[in-house]
Amino acid sequence: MSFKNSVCWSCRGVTPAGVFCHTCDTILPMDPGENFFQLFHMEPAFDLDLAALEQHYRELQKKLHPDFFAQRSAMERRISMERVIRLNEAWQTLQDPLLRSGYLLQTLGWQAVKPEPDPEFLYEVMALRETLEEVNPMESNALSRLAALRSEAKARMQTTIEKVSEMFRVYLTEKNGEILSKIARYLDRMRYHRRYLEELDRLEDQAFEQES
Amino acid sequence: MDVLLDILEPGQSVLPHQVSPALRKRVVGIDLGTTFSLVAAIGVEGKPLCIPDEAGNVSLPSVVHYGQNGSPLVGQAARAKLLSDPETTISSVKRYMGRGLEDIYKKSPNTPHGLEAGEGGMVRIVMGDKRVSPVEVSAEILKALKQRAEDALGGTLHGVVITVPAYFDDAQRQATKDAARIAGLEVMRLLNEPTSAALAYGLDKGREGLYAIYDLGGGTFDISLLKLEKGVFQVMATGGDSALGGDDLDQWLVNRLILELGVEKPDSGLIQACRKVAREVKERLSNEETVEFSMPLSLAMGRITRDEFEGGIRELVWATIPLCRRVLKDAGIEKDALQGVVLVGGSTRVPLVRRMVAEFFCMEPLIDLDPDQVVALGAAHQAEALAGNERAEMLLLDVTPLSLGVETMGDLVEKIVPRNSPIPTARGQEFTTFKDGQTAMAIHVVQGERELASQCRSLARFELRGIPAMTAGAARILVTYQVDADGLLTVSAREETTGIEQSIAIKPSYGLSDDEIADMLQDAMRHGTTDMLARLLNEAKVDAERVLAAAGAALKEDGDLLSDGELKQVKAVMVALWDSMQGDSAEKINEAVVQMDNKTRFFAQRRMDRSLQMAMTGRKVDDFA
Repeated sequence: MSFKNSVCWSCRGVTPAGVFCHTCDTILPMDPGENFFQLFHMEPAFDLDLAALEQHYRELQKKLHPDFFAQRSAMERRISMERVIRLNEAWQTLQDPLLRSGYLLQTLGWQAVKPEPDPEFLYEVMALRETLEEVNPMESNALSRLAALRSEAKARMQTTIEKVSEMFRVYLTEKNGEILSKIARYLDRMRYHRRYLEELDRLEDQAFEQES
Repeated sequence: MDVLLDILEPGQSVLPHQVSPALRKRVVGIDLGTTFSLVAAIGVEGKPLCIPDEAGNVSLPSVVHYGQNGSPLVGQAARAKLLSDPETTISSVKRYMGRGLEDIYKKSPNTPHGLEAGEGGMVRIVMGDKRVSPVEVSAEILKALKQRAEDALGGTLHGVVITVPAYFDDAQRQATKDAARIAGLEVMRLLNEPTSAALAYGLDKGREGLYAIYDLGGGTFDISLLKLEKGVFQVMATGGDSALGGDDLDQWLVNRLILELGVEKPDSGLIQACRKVAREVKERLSNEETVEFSMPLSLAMGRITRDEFEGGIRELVWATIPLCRRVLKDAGIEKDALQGVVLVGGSTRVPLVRRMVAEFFCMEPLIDLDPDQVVALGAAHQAEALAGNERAEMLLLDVTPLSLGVETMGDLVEKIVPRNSPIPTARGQEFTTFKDGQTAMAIHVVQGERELASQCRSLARFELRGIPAMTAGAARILVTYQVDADGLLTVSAREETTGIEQSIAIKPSYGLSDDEIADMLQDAMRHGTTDMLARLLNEAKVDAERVLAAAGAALKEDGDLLSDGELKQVKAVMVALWDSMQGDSAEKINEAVVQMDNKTRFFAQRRMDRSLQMAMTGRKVDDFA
């Protein structure tokens, strides 16, 4: 264990890094160098135990939330606010596979360069666009057609996520930089699938309102 | 070493998270509703109660009457004036909060009062040659509730929690906060109404699991999904319509009455009379199949069946269902995962509403707490927790209801904070210049889900100046949106390459100008100054408590570093600080804090040296504890 100490801003005593001062129990400013995984005491990885993540999130909120500092000094209120803003961002990022892979790439030192277009995927995208254009949300069977498209789209997203998860696992044992650029390309695929699902949402909303 | 015990009075604790009964703060929760308002506090048994007026009524009609002279009438007395003085009596003012003229006329062209655009965009209500802002009218309602609470609780209120519809946008929230300021209230938090209702169900009914809160009030509709687990109330998603409510159901009846009366251009007296009859008819139709009534301002009798009424309002009620569906989707939750659906708001008494909700969610909705009171009751709990009256075991985690974005080229919106983001939150987005030598940049802040800025709500426009002249695309301007726990937004901008920070005073597109608020504050001015002094004093005391607690903890841990003489010296400055806290001068307390800081610096230095030595010998601090 590293001996990482700092001076408490309130009692001026030396305290090990953490949320509260070892001596006076005052809330300590966050460590800006701490990444989202460290915040939840997790190793950087794509495969996370999401239930554990959420439980951890709630436990941290129970310690840090500004509501518990409403009657404390201005400095303590500010620190709690800053910590919770970061906690919220960390939680939102890690619980979402798309945001999580982007963040993990960054944490592993991947320099964002625009990945080269992937002709195979471009072809797929064009075909997918056509299926959407064929649906008229005003038609009577629109909801069931959209539901079918949705389960296909979800399956495609799931396959992509599994692929990304596998590639990250390989990277973490082999540390081969080539794999990261390959993941970055798959990130684009995930982004596209996400947008496609959002478009389906929009059409479903229209169809649902129409059906009444 | 119990150093602190000898200098503290019994019962006075300076340890964090403990409050002695003497320090209990007088706080309440307020439901500032469209048709009526309530105020609630935690009673002796820890249960929240709505505070009644002298006649025993807990609900105060949200109606304000401006007479020829004297202060305005509020509540029941004002409601009695709706028919005789329709032009100077204002009801449902919540619908005007933070709204422009266009928004209102788009929704309801038949308003009983004249409206005109005010400075800053928010409407003004025309009463003869007088103009009042919706914020002032709301402040009158708040003042009445404040008075009621202070009479019942026996003293000045320390702070309040005011509830707002979850779907209220930034301008509407800001307007509510301004109203409280004018009423001389310290707002500890703006709390979302459905969240507040969930709090009451969770704390008073011991409910746990996933719940949908369906809240149809007088003028607003909210639907929120919450996870209630071990005292944590986590909002998963929220949606709604801030201009849909029971008033709209009344309006259908009003239109029908006017049609039957054959009046082409009804005056405000007739409209108010029709509203009164409509409300009564609507309420009776909840229990009767057919209702006979006297036509407004006429000797004729009218008759309506529940079927006819339901036929007329079906579309309005149906409009809430796609919003429920949307929220389930946003939260990624299937209907069958829900433990229950809670009904909130007086309009959920309408049988058609209950049927439609039951049908959509495939379960009978819950009404075990009074749908009219439940919001105020939850707010009282939150007020108690924020005041620190108890080391709260409960925690609310809320979200922002609407996406926040910025207008980019071609009227497009770039989303910066997506809807349903947990708050507080801060998000940044980088922008650059598009012309060589460009030194200013216009930033238009918008809120809403539409893709075009012109279709979203405009929150503020400002210009970032002083960007150093560079080639196009070289400047990097980071625009940061921060949403606090009240759901209110602050925007800041920074040029990254030079670090030039621009402080931006945001003028809300639909707000009140600071001048206007200053004018309105004049009445409450004397109050205001003492409020501010009290706040400063409180701040100073809280800080002093922290310093004393910290010093106490340090003495306990490393007191052996001091000689008897030094220990005496440290104790002496602590006593001096303690003494200063017994007075009521914030300045003296702050001085004592600085004194103490100076005179204990050597101690801090020694503690530091000790820790370093421990580190050198490779042992952890814990080993010595």
